[in-house]
Amino acid sequence: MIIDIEPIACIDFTMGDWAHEPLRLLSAINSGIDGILRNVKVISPDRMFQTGYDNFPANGGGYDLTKMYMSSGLSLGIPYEFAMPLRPIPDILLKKVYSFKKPEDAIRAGISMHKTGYPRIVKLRSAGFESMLSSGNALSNEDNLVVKLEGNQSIIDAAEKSLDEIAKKSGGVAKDKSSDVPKFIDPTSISPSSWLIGICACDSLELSTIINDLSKIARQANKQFQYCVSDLDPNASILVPMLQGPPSEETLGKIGSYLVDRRLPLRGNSSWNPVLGDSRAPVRIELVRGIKRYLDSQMILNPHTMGVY
Amino acid sequence: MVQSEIAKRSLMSAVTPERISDEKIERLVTSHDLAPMPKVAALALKMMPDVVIHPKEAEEVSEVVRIANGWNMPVTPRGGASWGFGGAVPNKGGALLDMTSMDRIIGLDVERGIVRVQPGVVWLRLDEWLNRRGYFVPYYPSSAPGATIGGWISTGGVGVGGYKYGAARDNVRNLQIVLPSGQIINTAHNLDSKHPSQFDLTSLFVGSEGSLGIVTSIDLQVYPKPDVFFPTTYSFPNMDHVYAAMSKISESRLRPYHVAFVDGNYFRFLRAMGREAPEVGGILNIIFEGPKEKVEEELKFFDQLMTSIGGKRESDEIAQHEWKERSYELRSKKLGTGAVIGEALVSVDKAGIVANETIKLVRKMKMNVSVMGYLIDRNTVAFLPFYLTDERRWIKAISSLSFVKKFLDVANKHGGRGVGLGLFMANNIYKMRDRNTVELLRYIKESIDPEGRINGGKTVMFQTRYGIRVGPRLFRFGMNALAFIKRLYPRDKYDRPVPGGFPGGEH
Repeated sequence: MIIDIEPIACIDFTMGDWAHEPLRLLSAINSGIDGILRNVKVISPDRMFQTGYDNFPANGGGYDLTKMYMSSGLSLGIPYEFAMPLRPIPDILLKKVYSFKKPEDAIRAGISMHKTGYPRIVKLRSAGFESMLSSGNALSNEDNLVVKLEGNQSIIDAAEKSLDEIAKKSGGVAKDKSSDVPKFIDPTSISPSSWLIGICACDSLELSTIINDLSKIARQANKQFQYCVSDLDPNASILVPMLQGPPSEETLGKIGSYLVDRRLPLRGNSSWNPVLGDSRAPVRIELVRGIKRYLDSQMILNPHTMGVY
Repeated sequence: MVQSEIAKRSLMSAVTPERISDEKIERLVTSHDLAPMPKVAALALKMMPDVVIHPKEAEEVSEVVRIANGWNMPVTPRGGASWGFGGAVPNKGGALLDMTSMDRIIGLDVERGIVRVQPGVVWLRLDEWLNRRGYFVPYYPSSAPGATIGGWISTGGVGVGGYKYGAARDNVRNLQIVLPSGQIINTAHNLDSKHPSQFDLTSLFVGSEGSLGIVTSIDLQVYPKPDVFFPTTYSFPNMDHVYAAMSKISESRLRPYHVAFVDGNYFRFLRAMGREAPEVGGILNIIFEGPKEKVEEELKFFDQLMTSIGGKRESDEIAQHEWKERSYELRSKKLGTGAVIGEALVSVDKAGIVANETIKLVRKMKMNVSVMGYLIDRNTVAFLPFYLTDERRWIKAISSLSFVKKFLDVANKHGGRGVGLGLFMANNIYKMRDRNTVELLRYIKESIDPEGRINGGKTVMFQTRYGIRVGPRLFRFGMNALAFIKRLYPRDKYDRPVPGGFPGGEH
């Protein structure tokens, strides 16, 4: 529920609403919304608190708990209000699609496009990704870069010219463009036969290797593998890998081992995270455990994310 | 031999001799920041450190912290000290870590656009270094020629370029920290805080003002150098027009790189110094960067917008000059012996109201204040009023400090808040956050630093040299008393007269 759209959006997930929308909320968090959040109001078992500032959520001095909270797998409390900056709707909001034969070409082009400063966001979707969504239609039978552009007509024209050139250099072809702008992956729209196997924050330079490796594991298990990369940027990207049909325990085990070996943290509330966390950053985790004990002395809220079972 | 002396000797025997000193001159230089304090402040605060250390590596910082822990010695990290709230100044003496000695640019990851630096690197130097490699750092403090990266990040980092690229908090990808225990940690998992996971502590430490640990290396997101960089300057008959123009810019669909304003008093100060300065109510500098076609389009749009509000576009030479002067806004402090800056964040729609109430406050306190500032995002203005001070007249100088507190009260009244806390503004935390959250923040400080050795007695509380906590009521009483004393003085005057005087003034 949007309770204030000018100039800050405060999305109020009161318990009633939130209880009906947990997947949508988690999806928003996992899709990178945490990067723009300015404040979260939280109820934890022992007290309520705010991660940032209430008055109006701008940056500044003082302890800011937003990223720590958002990366805690909701183990530090339940959010009931988010504040994030909004921007006026641009004159033109355009989705432009480029098709590539190989994911590595698409990734390279996507990173170069990002560096021009034109795209609002760059996403990558595998050839059959749309078929994993209940309402989806395949964009093409190739890997697709989906670039979101905004501005007035002159800026859009200049952006298209620049991005078309980059795509061409990497063997890409400009396909559709439309004002139907892509949204974040919403788990409620995933087809019942599709399995989301984890949302990982990845080093963009290792992305094509990770995609190929996961694809190989899926092939060995005779499963169709599809993926989406939301927010492809030069530094880090979020990979959303999916399998057609339920994976076996063995396949899940292989994927889990692969993620641990690659040190890829799963976003959101995953039981794999404590394994990664405990083994890789004991001091940091211990520090947050102290905060957890203060907010939730009985350790009743998502204790497994803290390595407490 | 007293304990502090033994602690000092322990440190001097552990640290390479050329990187540690207890010379009085060095301790004196590091006993103040941008806002010089009168000697009488020493009654409550031991601002002079016992020893000054110039570390080179994180391991050395860790060793100093461990030794200081053994002797219960306070440790204060210090960057360029270009802030005025006492965050980089000891309040209980002890060891001062001069982080400007950790000034290596460790490397640039060209493919990822990430640069790794030590905290003592100065912003301007980093930008020049990046420019030679085809990159630039688009966000930095206006004090970029002297401010260190670690120092600015520790204050939360709002400044130039934030309107388009966000603040430091949005661009720091990882920090290496020496905790009060001496342990060294990375704040982000996989060294990436853009997509935080695994209990990311980056935003906790950015803005913590050196009170949770000592930053020893920083990974920053940097960007390819833009094709075009183009500053413009618009003059307005009064500041109401300037605030209206900023409001229009924040509502617009295009986003320039940086939007900054300066009031007419700033130019009065400059004229008093014999410099050429325009006689205008205020100016607005709008800076554009990016691909050529995009910049041209943005320029056309904002030119029309500013003209429609009554702005006059000044020449490109003036705009270039104003842009170059962005880091030297305190040139006029030579009229006194120093300058004190207040800093508050105010919503754009309240900027005019806060400005008018600040003017009333200025008149009441018989001061001359110039106001400058900039947009830090679409709904927020950073307001920076400054006045000239002369600590040789210490009663007047110390009583003038109450202006900063009173100004923050005005900002708070209209939903704004101070940018930072440091030592002197630590009690403002109650106006910035709810009581539950303040208690949580104090708990975090105590759990990380139980003895309060690392920049203790600041940020989440104000403590004197004797460890006595000054609460908000006592602080408010003290500040009100100082403001009363200030009002007993005649209006501020300077050694050199201000041509034309100040509005409502005596000069």
